[in-house]
Amino acid sequence: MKPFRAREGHYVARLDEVEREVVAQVAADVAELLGASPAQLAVATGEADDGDPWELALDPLAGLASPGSGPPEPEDPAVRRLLPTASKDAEVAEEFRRLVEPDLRELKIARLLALVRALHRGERLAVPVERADLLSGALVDVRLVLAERLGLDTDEAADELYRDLALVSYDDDGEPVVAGQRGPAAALRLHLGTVYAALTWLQESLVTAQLADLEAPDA
Amino acid sequence: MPLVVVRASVPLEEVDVAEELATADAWVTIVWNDPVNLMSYVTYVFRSYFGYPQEEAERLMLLVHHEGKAVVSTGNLEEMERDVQAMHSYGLWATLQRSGE
Repeated sequence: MKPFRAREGHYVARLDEVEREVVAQVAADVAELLGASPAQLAVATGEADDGDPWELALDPLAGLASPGSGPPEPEDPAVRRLLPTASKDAEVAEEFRRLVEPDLRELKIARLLALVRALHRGERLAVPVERADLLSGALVDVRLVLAERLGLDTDEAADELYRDLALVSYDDDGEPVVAGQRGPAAALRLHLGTVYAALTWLQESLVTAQLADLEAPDA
Repeated sequence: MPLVVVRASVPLEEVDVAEELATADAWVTIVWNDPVNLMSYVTYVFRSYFGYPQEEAERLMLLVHHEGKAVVSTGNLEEMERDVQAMHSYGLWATLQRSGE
């Protein structure tokens, strides 16, 4: 994995085949959590076309509020973090879910699937500078879901994950030992934690490039 | 003709302006701390969405980081709904509430 760098109006990173598959899978999973249809998922993982995957085709009608009450607060805590309750004022929160949430949900699904499509293009993961917020937003959403599954609800818990990842060892059978634990739960923590750490690193490189362009937009 | 229109609309406009002033800063957008979003990213969002200069964006980011939350914008209900929508699209945890609550 090579970090994002500014290149001729794009930010470009490089991921090898295994990294691309893993990231595309988790991005597709998050899109599915948000309600992406099997058809949408199939298109994203299907044959690549020549267009810019970051040119999103958002449905102008998707944001039209349905009459009556808004959708309920999502049950899955990870989805609730991506589409948080907007106010402690119940009336305001309900109106927000009714009027705003459909748009937000559609945008989040569309840019996650754009990431999936972009990853299927090959080693070079590129986004035009003016559309880079779509990529960083997709990366954040994937990291938020991974963090929820990993129980990273405090800064300390996040630090602990990094400590665990640094101290991973393997037993005689080649099974990982994470924080003294082995078995499926430890292996899952290692897998999700590794993806989380890699995406965090990738995102840091992207935002560093974006901040540099805010400083010197003509550079 | 224009005169008629002006006469007819003046009182109405005055009412609108008065209401607008009364409610202009009645709501705030609050961004809450979370262990996932990078400090650099939060600063970037405050700069790029709100147009805050680097120092102000960093001050607000540090306030979120250390105090757990910060008021990042004020305005009427619709404006704050727009700002919270933008923050959610960036993946930041934000809420709106009446100012002073």
